[in-house]
Amino acid sequence: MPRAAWACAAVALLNGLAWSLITPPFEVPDENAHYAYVQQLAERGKLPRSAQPEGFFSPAEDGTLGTIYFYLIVGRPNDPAPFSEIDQREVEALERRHLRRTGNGNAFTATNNPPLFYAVQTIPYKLAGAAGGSVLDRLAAMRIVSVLMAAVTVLLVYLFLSELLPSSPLACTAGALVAALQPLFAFISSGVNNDALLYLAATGVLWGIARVFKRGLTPANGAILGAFVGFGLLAKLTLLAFVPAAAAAVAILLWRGLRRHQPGVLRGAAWAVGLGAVPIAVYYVLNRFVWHRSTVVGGLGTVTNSAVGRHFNRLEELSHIWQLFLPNLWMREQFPSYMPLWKTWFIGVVGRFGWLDYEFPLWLDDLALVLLIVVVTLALVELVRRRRALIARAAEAVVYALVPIGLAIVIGVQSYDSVVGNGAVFEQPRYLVPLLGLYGALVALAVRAGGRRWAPALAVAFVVLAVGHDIYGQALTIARYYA
Amino acid sequence: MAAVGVVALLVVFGLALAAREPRLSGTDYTPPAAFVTALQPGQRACQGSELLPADTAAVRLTLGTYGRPGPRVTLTATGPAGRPLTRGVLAAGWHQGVVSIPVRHVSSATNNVRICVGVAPAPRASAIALGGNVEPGEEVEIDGRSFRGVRFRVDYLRPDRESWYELLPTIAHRFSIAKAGFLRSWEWAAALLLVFASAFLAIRTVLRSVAASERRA
Repeated sequence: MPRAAWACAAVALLNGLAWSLITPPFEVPDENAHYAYVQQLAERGKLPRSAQPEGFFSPAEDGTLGTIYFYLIVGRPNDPAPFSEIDQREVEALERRHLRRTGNGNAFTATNNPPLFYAVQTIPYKLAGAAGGSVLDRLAAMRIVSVLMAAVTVLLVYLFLSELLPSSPLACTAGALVAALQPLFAFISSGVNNDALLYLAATGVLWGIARVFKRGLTPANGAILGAFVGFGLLAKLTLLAFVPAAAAAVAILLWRGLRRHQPGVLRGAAWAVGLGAVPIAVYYVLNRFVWHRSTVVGGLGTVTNSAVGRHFNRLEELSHIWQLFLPNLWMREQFPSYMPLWKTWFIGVVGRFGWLDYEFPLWLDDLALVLLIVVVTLALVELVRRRRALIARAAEAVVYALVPIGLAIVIGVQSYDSVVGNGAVFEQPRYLVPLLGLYGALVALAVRAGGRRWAPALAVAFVVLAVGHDIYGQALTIARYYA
Repeated sequence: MAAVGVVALLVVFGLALAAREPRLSGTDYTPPAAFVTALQPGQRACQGSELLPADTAAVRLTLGTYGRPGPRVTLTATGPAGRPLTRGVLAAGWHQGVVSIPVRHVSSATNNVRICVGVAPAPRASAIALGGNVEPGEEVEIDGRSFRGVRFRVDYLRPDRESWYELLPTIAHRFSIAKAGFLRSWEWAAALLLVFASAFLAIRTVLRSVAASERRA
């Protein structure tokens, strides 16, 4: 493993730890619900189940949320975190009461999530508890584990890029560093949120795909790809978005391998399918017949009961998915008051933090758009320049293209179900962060476009800009909560 | 190239951090969603359960004047036993919106404080409205009469305008409030160190990678 790969992971670790200290407790989206899931698993050894009244957790967690003004801060960008020593004394008084750590078994929005992330998080939860830690101590310890996942994610970004562009270590380093410093990725990964493990698994799948295309569908490479799909599905079902790409990669390489009589290709495919499918199949059976829980979060089918008087329509669903990610061409308007491509995705991924309640000023979004156009143009120039290599690797390129398409469909289906079912907006910018590996690849291609003469300057420029972008995000967060 | 970039970043952040503005010493977290209380000339509105934070030198309210010039407004803060803690006056002639009323400096925090806002009597004064929100369980008292379910927004401001540099010790202290016990005292220092360490390591890593690529070439 190159030292640069470890250095990129170390940057993600240090940066994520900084974000975890800067962001006040429970201010990462749904952190209260994810904490409740871990608490239920650690304290009772059981997965959470829907219970009424929804939204009430354990007395220990509810008490903490109350004393740190959680419900007064969330969604209110002008209301800071607690400032006063009097607030601190109230937090300490609550901690001395040692309130019950079991609630009604409900984990609100996290209730129906698969258990892998939460099972891992029970380790820091219990370790902090064994040291006499309070809810805030346990949360801080769990955040460290999430940040470790972010570091591994960036290591995987580097490995993915080095499979993709093996002759360009500088481009790989720049791409992985820019990914490590992406503020939304660092912010989400600095909290207790199963997205941290999803990002890791998603990047692992990209690495696995790149490996099988470059090194062949050997049993080891098939196992790597399958394992990332398998445990990724146990982290968050959003990883279903990556299954078509992984399946296409295995199918293409199996077909090629069988035609060329390559030894081990069948075993490689078997490992990929087995490790990819068996964990989720076992989870499905346990979930349905042993734990009696809902299996599919958000529902991937049709909505039968609408609270807002709307009816599910397959054509309208397709139109909704299109308009969620692309400009409306001729269809009936699905988002009459805003354009999701700009407002939700672009501005959001540039940086919308907290519980979606503060973001960068608009001038920075405009600047980011200019920079994105430059980066995309450079990447396209590189692809055109290397068109022979691209054509030779066309199947691999198509497989990578399936990844954002799959993610768009998974997000879009849930978005439409949410709109039809209860009129609520489902989508959040963080749902695109599983594409972090491709974001790094875009930057790496742009660096390579500079050739021998300009690539060093481009690499340094992109990394310095990423540093500035990230620190600005941290400064915004400090201003939001502490000033 | 890297040096130019780093210097440019330092200059941009350095200038942004030098901006001097009024800074909060605290707030009562009531959303200023609507005008919830109207005060006629000579009337006084009071609400309790306020946390009057340390280092307060002004109180910020959202006030409406129905388009007229603002009348003279007084503000008093009294402690749990009715002990006066601070007071201030906003001279007539202000414009409606978010306004700051300077008060005598408060050096230590007090909980369960009662804040009262009074309007000068007629004929020279006119009515004002207080911005706040519908808050079940809360109440505002106007001249001894209780109005349930509403609360007006109160922000507390520190003395003068401060740059981020001047505010740094305060922010460092605020980092220690409502955090994990094992982090409390050193959290701000660790956060600062980690921010700089990750930036330094990122730039060092890309520079080393550049040097390695030049050696290979």
